[in-house]
Amino acid sequence: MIEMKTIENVLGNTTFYALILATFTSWLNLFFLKSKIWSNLARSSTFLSSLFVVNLLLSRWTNGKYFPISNLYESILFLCAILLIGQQLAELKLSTRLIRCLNLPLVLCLYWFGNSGLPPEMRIITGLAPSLQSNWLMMHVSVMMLSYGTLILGSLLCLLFLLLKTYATKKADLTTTTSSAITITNNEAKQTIVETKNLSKSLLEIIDIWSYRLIGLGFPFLTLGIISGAVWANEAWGAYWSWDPKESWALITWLTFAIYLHARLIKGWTGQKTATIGSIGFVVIWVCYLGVNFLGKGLHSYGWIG
Amino acid sequence: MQFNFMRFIIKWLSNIKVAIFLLVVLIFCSLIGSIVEQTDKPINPLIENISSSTNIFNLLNFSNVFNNGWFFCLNLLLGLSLISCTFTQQLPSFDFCRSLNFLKKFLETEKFDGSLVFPTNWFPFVISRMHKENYFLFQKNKAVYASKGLIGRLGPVFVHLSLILILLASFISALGGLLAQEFVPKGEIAYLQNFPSDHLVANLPVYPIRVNDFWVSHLDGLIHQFYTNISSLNEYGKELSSFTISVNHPFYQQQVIWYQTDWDIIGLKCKLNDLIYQIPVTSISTAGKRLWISWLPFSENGSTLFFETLRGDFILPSFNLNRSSYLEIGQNLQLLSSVNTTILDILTCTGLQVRGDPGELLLSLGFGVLILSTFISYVSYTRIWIIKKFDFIQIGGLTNRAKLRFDYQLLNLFDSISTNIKT
Repeated sequence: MIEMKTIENVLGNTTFYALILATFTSWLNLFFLKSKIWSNLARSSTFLSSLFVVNLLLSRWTNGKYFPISNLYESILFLCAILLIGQQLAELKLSTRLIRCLNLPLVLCLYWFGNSGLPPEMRIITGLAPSLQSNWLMMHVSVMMLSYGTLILGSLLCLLFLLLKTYATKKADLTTTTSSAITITNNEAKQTIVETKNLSKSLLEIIDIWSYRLIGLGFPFLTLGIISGAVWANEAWGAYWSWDPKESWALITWLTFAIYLHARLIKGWTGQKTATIGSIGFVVIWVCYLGVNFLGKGLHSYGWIG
Repeated sequence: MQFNFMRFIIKWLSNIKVAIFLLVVLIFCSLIGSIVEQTDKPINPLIENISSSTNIFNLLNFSNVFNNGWFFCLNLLLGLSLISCTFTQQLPSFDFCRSLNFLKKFLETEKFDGSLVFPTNWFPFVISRMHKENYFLFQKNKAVYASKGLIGRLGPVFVHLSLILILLASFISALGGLLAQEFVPKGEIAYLQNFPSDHLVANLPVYPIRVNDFWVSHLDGLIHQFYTNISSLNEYGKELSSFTISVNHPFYQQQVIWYQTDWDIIGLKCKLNDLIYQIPVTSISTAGKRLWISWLPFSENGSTLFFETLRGDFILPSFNLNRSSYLEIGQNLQLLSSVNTTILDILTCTGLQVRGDPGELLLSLGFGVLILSTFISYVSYTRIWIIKKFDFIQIGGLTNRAKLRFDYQLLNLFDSISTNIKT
């Protein structure tokens, strides 16, 4: 058992250092855009840290013999893993290095909070409380975390949009177009097809669209997570909905992003207006995930702080 | 006149601004509900002190946000808004004749998510290509309208309908549901009658139950699970059925569900020489841990007992004995007095809850549809307009979800045409 503990410690520490390295190199990369070294270093250290986090969770799974997202510390680890993997997937599709610069500090802070901010007794593997012994645990918590992950990434992009927008209005010449231009290999086609619209979109537009798509994906997951939680609560406590703070805030999150989607779909808002709603959603999600735990009441007693 | 008024109300309710306003109000309600300490029971306005109701907090009953008249009204308004939006905005948009808006003149290209221009002789290839890609195609003279992913358009309608179902189901279960909670000592026969909130009493199962057994299982010194074995009896006290419940494993029986919710220690069976006594126990909870404490009045100063678990071990602390001792049930306590004192048994009671929910089926249906329809809504609804002109055709497309690289996808769609034509 002692061996497992040392493995866990080593994994935990290496993850932390890998994350620090990834954050630093990705920010350095922002200043030395041309250099391949920093970019590769940032990418590989991100990949390594996500690998370490997943391994840490797996080792806890084998060690504790229960599904490893059962307390706050483990859920933080899981969220870090989701954010890192999501970021790498987003980078594959969206060739910008800005997401990395915003996401990695966030993950680093989250991981640091999980490792040092939480009292050590909250990180110990303990048995599951009777109300948690259900197959719904796996479903509810993992779907919830998945939705948090996607929604956090999506609303982070909203925040990035607002930041760039204010920066861009200050410096009007920052309309750097990215490499999303389409190369038509066929020469003949090039002559006949006349594009009436410039295919290369500005970075702001791409960020806007991506945040919309991510929030659009996170919303059904959040719905599924809340409903699975309600069904589980009905099995464990005999009530679908008890208005405990966690539930109230999950509803607030759901409603906020419902407003975001309505503003998009019905009102046809884009850009700054929806990005503002998304940024509010960013705050709301963090309150829902961590802030509510400071209240220390209600049924979701897996990680009361203070 | 009245009809006009109704029409005005419906129009007002189906307005997106009003709907969003209602959502914002609901957000603030939840916010208040999570910050202000909530009381479980609905407060009887007659008992409430009238002088305190001058405070805005008490006036709006912030300590009981979710069991309130105005909160109910808010939900009702939200439900009505959903219904009116579904029937006046969403469903009419499926009227094909109306949505088939062929473009005579091309709009400015900025309004499209993606647009292309092809030579005119590509027209048949474009049409066949779109047909192959499962687009619905409509043609009128020289204009073509095509759509794909109508299911993604249908999704939001079902989201609204399922939300209405869920609201309706919770309304039904609030009116006709029954809920009873009771602590029943092990071995006792009891009627359930302790209601946490004012629900209908009429359709409560009036027949008694008997708690046959209650036990707790431990794992690594921690409580793992607790179980109750219950027999439901008929009016003559004969056993009808017996079942075991535990947390997360309720028992379903004739439209009511039995839950294991809590447990407690209520007393000790104690033996003094040959006499058997029952001694009360109180529980104290500190830092999330429950402890049970009792006092034996047998020795000169009496002695205190502490229980942490139901495993039958307890502690006699040292402040009135010369040493603390860790003892088990059945052991002689060896108090200073000459009497032989033994704890024979711990008397426990189990916390049961019975719930009947007439809205359950509707609620499950609502949940299922809501999950499915939110995922279906993720499917992008794409519309493409084509106008054939003398020397070129113009193509413009709009999509509601997958805006990312839509222009690229549009180009990809017709990519094979160029190779077709070349060969």
